[in-house]
Amino acid sequence: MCLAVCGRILSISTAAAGDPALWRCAEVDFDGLRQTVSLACLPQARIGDQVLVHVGLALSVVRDDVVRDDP
Amino acid sequence: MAEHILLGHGGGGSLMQELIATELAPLYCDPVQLGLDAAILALPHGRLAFSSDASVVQPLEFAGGDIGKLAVIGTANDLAMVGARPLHLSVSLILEEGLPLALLRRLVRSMAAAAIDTGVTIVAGDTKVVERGKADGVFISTSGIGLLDSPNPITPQAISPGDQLLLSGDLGRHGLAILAARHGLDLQPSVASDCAPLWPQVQALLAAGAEPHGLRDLTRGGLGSVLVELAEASGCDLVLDEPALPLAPGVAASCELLGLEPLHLANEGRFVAVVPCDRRAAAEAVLAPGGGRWVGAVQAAASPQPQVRLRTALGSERLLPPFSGDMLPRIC
Amino acid sequence: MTWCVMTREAPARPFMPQASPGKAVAAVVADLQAIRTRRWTLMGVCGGQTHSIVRWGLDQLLAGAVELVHGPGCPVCMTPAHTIDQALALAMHRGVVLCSFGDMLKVPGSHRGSGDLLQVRATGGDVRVITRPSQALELARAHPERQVVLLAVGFETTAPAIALLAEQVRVLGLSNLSLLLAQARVVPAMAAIAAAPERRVQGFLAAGHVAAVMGQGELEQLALQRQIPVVITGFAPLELLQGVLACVRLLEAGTPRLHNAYAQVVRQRGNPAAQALLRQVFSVADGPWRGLGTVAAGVLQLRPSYRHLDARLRFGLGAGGAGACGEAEPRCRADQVLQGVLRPTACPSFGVACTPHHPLGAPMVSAEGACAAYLQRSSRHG
Repeated sequence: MCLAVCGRILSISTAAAGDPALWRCAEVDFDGLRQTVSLACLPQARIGDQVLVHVGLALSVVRDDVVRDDP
Repeated sequence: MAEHILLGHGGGGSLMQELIATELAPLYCDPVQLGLDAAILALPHGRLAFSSDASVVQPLEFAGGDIGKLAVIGTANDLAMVGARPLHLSVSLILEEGLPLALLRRLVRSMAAAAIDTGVTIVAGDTKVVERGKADGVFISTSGIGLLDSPNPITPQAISPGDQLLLSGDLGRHGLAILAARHGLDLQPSVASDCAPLWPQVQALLAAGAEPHGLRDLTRGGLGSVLVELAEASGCDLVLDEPALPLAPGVAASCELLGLEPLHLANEGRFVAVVPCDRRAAAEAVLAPGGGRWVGAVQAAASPQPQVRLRTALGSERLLPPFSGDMLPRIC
Repeated sequence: MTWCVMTREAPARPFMPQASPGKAVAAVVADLQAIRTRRWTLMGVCGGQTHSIVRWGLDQLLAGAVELVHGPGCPVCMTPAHTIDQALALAMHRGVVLCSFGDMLKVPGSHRGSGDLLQVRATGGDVRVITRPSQALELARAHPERQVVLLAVGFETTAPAIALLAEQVRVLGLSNLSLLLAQARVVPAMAAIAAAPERRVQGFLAAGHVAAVMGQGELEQLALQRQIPVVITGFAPLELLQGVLACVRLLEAGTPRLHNAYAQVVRQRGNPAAQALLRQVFSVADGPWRGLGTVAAGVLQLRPSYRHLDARLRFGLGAGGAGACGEAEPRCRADQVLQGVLRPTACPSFGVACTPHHPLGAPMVSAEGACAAYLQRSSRHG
């Protein structure tokens, strides 16, 4: 399942009417391919964030400061 | 004159004559051809190559080309792939009732320019009109003849273990341009089709003594499908060095996002050359200025069924995934 | 630019060296060989992991050290055949636009000769390939005279997008979009496999993107209750191999617990907003997985306030029960393959009567399917 790709948020917008959280979207750059992605599940996402996207929905903000720990 | 194609334009009467004289004449460098049922040609001595093609691409116009340019260059490239200099083409148009004349004019201009670019003359043709809804705008069928320049036959049976595989340029531009046009993909920078004549590079390869055992352009089905056909026809395994494969900018990211296999994307201005091992350097020198490079080698088949194998950057190997003909994006 | 999509593009990962990916991978494999005392059998649950393993030949690099078994976490393999039959029937319906992800277009139905969605399209059915549920919404708004049906397959990675679509349709008051739901939950299927008496799987590689949504809690419980190590992995080859190494470490230490090897994406709590949306739209139920039978708490169903979006109700199709996952093709051994009990190469039909062009069952249909994946392994490596 789950072909998801990371991209960077370039801009954020909301619909003029209705619940802003439901319609909040971002223009995301995937290495040259730009797509509109829903931020309905990432209210904390900001411009410049790297996000993981699956079927047009951002699911997680990628953190590049995480240090790997071994079990 | 009407602004759209009407059924009458294919009826054989005055409407059709007007269409040919006004809109299609620019395709033919010799206006005498317009009045004949068949072209009469004086051909140079030697062996001739003959090829036929149909173009049904959608959309009709896209970044870097259109269906007309594709049709002319496509057939010329098929001739180049057997080592023949393209000479003459026929162009048959099936037009859909309602096709805007402005669009037809653009396509005709494009075909005429492609013919000049390719060094061919369009000497014969036909025009039909079908009812609205029966032809997706335009279908174009082209046939072409060329003069064989290569002393040795370029057939896959000549391919042997030890031969080297070279690409003439980067992969995926045309396929991606079409995908972008069809699905409204926003590519920054935008990607244009690589549709271009291949004879100049082929001629240079032959002149440099590369003695290719195989030449194939990488149209529908991409490099992947061509290699499968070559493996089957030659009875040899083809092994690609995956990190060496040049992908055009935007192709890797788009394929990853959509879940597509880059090796199955169509190219309209690229070919693969299979050359003897001792001709590899000469071939590389010819192809490098256009972005071409070495990408793999031919080996004796390791199993009863010849395979196309890819050696990954990790040192492992995988088989080329099968391609039935449908480019289907995946989510999984 | 040459083709080496080994790791995710920027940002740079502090623990993933950019230079020489081959060396980094070889180092992980060397570590693994150094610490292992026997050959271990791990199941990668997710079709995305299968794709990466095959695409990078990771099983070759691990040969002898670890056997990687491909699990049932692929919508092509586990969507009940009955659901496919319903999708085919709807696609042939005049007035219906059937939207589907590309993965599902070549999956055969339960009756021999029933064809697939591509064949229905060829004979006049309006079947549209989409890559995101929002395209179904756009279609419905653009064509109020048509009934748009989304074949909504997938797992918890896809479920939030389906839930979002359902909520948007409800808010907009659209009456011409419905869902043919086949959303499944991964952890219950893992629990069923772990509970099987003839289980060969000794450790799980859990799907990183499902965990990005659902968090770690359920997986922690699974590891504890079934006493089996579970490692959450990413999908790039280095990420996967680091996950395998972590799992082998747990096995060697005899520590059956959860380890998160994809911390850059997966948080302990997962994605709370996505989970809230899932709870709002769906409830959990027992339901069929093709090849596994009924899985307790294994599927999602629409809550009452969204039931008007259920395509089965709207078109009077019937729910289809546990018996709906039987195969019409008796030679297909998908159930044993998907539970990790039978290696596909040991199936008598493998590559002979059953190929991607003529699949007997679902696992041979797509490249992520457990059986099709084995076909792509170079014959030189067996």
